[in-house]
Parts: sequence; structure tokens; C-alpha cells
Amino acid sequence: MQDPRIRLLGTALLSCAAWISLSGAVLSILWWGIWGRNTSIKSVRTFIILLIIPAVMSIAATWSGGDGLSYFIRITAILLIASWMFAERYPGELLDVGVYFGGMKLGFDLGLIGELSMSALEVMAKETDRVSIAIRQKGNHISPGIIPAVFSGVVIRELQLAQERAILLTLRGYTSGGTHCPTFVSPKEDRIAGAFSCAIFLFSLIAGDFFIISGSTFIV
Amino acid sequence: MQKLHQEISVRTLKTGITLLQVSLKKGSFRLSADGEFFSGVHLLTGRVGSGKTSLGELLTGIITPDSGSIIQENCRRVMLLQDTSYHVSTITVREEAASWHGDEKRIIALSGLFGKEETDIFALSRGELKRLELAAILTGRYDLIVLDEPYAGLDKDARKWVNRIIAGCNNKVIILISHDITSLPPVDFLWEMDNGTLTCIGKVPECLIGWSRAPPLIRFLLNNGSYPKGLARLDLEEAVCRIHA
Repeated sequence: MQDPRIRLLGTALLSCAAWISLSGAVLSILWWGIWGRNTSIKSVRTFIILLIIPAVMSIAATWSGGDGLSYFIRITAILLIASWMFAERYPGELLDVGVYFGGMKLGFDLGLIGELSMSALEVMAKETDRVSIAIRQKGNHISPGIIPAVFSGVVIRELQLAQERAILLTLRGYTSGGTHCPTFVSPKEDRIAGAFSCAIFLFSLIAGDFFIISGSTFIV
Repeated sequence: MQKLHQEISVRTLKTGITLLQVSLKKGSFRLSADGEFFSGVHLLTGRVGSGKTSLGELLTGIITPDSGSIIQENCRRVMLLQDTSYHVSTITVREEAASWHGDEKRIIALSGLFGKEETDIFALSRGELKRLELAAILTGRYDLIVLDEPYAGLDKDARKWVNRIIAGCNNKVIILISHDITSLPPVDFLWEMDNGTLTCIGKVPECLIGWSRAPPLIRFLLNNGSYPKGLARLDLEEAVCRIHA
């Protein structure tokens, strides 16, 4: 998907749809199967790793008397949609979308915060990879005992990087807002996928259990 | 037959790494390398972005080539010095020295951190942390050591200290990746990366005359007919003195 506006909006709508009803979650997974499968999860192994935590949580929910299966399907849908969004993102898209929806002041600031956060996540992922290699070469293994020291290092470096970026922005004269003129490419396929995500959200609202939950909350 | 046995025994005793038509693609950048790195100090130099760090990662097995092969001979323990903080796995200086499975007291003494054993590792300066990690690496039982820009963040005395330890390392393959040639230890072999292509310049000091991309200081010395005996700081100083004499 080339248009980040449709992608972000679609992500929000499908995530909400998956959370408010089981049928919305199933339809969101189907949506991912059509438009997101080829660009997000590349292997079965990644797919299994992604689902380990929800599976454990759903087993725990079932064991404690809850609806574990429903929880598992909803969380799976949200994770799949999130992985698709992350895989398709390109640097600067949050700033583009922020300015498009929120203008040069608030939108620019929100977009900038989003961009800095996303790049920090990427740096942390790379650093974690590097650290695990360095620890292995030392002849050690990542064990619970060394995790605090190892990851405090990653966090400290990330905070130092954030401080350096803040200084750089200040030196460049940034106070708030800025000028940015985003351009978007919006092919027909993107618009169709976006329309379906809206339809799934609406269907989830109407046919799902959202109103029942709201109603019961209201009665209580 | 006896000669063959001798050759085999010499071959099996050798410690080193051989690159055979190795290539790696990163976007539009392409790295290609052929060569043998055996015991001694190898200097790998080249411009920023020429592929030195990627080659270091290939040599230490952190990344794998797209094609070609890397043959390690008797290189059981391999170490790449990255950003020093990546190696930290404990809280205090003493614990960190011990985590390298070497002589803990020697590492602390060598790095000049005697009296700071209980100090928080992240309270050390970058230079102090680098000294600690370098002391652990260079005194450790590693067969192949790749030091990526080991002089970055070190002052003049610390650089001399690194060179002294490197000069004392025998029977190891040490690959120094550096573009700073003003404070080197005695170097045995010179390699150059140019736009992703690895070239063996040769054995130092014989190869210096034919070093077409030699840095300005070396070129100045050669143009003035003063051939340095090596790339160590003392050798360069001696060659400069000969010009003035």
C-alpha cells in the first residue's frame, strides 16, 4: 500500500474492529490475508513467534474461566495488522500524515514525535541484535542475570541519542511546528483496501457486541 | 612424501582466515574480497563508506556473504570490537572484567582502573570503558581479533597503550580497521578497501613504495626519498627526522 493516510486509517479501523467484535477480528484477518500478507510476515517461524505470547495469554484466560479463544483471535488480528503497517512504513510518512491531518503546527509536532519514536524503535532493534552478538563472542549467553545490565545499556544509549537529537533540533531553531508539504500517491487498489477496512469497521459496530457491552455498561 | 607431511603440518598449525571470491550486496553497494589473513597485525584502511566495517563483520561471521566462501583455520575464538558499550554485560568494573573469562586482575590493572573495581560500569568515561574492553580482548584467548576503529575516543597516551598491547600479541591474527595512520603499532600487512573492493597492498614496509593511495604523510616521506621502516609512530618520526638531517 503506497498511501500512508489510508494505511494508518485502515490500521486504526481494523484494530478497533478486531477489538470490538469477534466477527470484526475474523474479517480483519481475512483483510490482512488479501492485502497485507505478502508484505509483512515472511516466514512461518516469524508467524509462530508472533503468536506465542497471545497463545499463552489465551490459555491463561481459558484456564481462569474467560473466553481465551476469542481473545486469541482478536489479539492475532491486531498483531497481524500492526506487523503489516510496520513492514510497509517508509521514513517520513508519519510527518506527512501528521501535517496532512493536523496542519503545520500540531500535526507537524505529532508527526515529528511519531517519526522520532519509530526511528528509536529501529535503532533499539539493531542495537539489541549487535549486543547479543557481542555477548555471544565474549563466551556468554543472554540469561536473566545479565538482562538488566545489557538492556540498561541499550536504554542509556537511546536516551543519549534522544538528547543529542533534541540539541540538534534546538540548534536548528526548532521551537514548535514547521513547514512541510507532503505529497501522496493513492492508487485504486489502496482506495479499495481502505474502503473494505471502513466496511469491516462499520460491520463490526453494527453486527458485533459493542452495543451490547455499551448497553450493559450503561445499565450497570 | 616427507615434504608433503611437513607442508600439511605447517598448514594445520597456521591460524588464519581465507576469503575466496567473497561478495556481499547492500542496496546499491557491492563488496568483493579475496585474500588470506594469517598471524600478524593487518592494517585495513580506506575511505569512509568503502566497506571496511562490513568486511570486519564478514571476517568475524556476524554477517554471511551472498557468494564465495570464508575459510577459518584454527580460528576457534573470534572477536570483533564494536562500539564498546555493546560488550557490557554486568554492573561493576570488577564483574565486567570477570565476564570476559580471562585474568580479571590483569585486565583491571592493564586498563588502569585499579581502585575503581566497584564503580558502576556506565559511570566510566568512554575512554575508560574502551580501555577495559580492549584490555580484555587483547589479553583474551582469541585467535582472530578484528578491531574496528580502536583509536576512536582515545587520547594520545591511551593510543600508545593500545599499541603496546597489540605489539605484545603473538600468534594471533589481528586486523586493525583504521583510517588514522598516525598512531599505529608495528603493522605486518597492509590492506586497502576502495569502493567495496579489497586489495592487498603487501608486506610492510616493502609495499609502501607502491601504495598508490598512500596518505599525505607517507607520500610526503616517499617523495622526499625517506622510506619509513614501518607504519608505527616511531618509524614515521624517524623517517621525518631523516629528511631534516
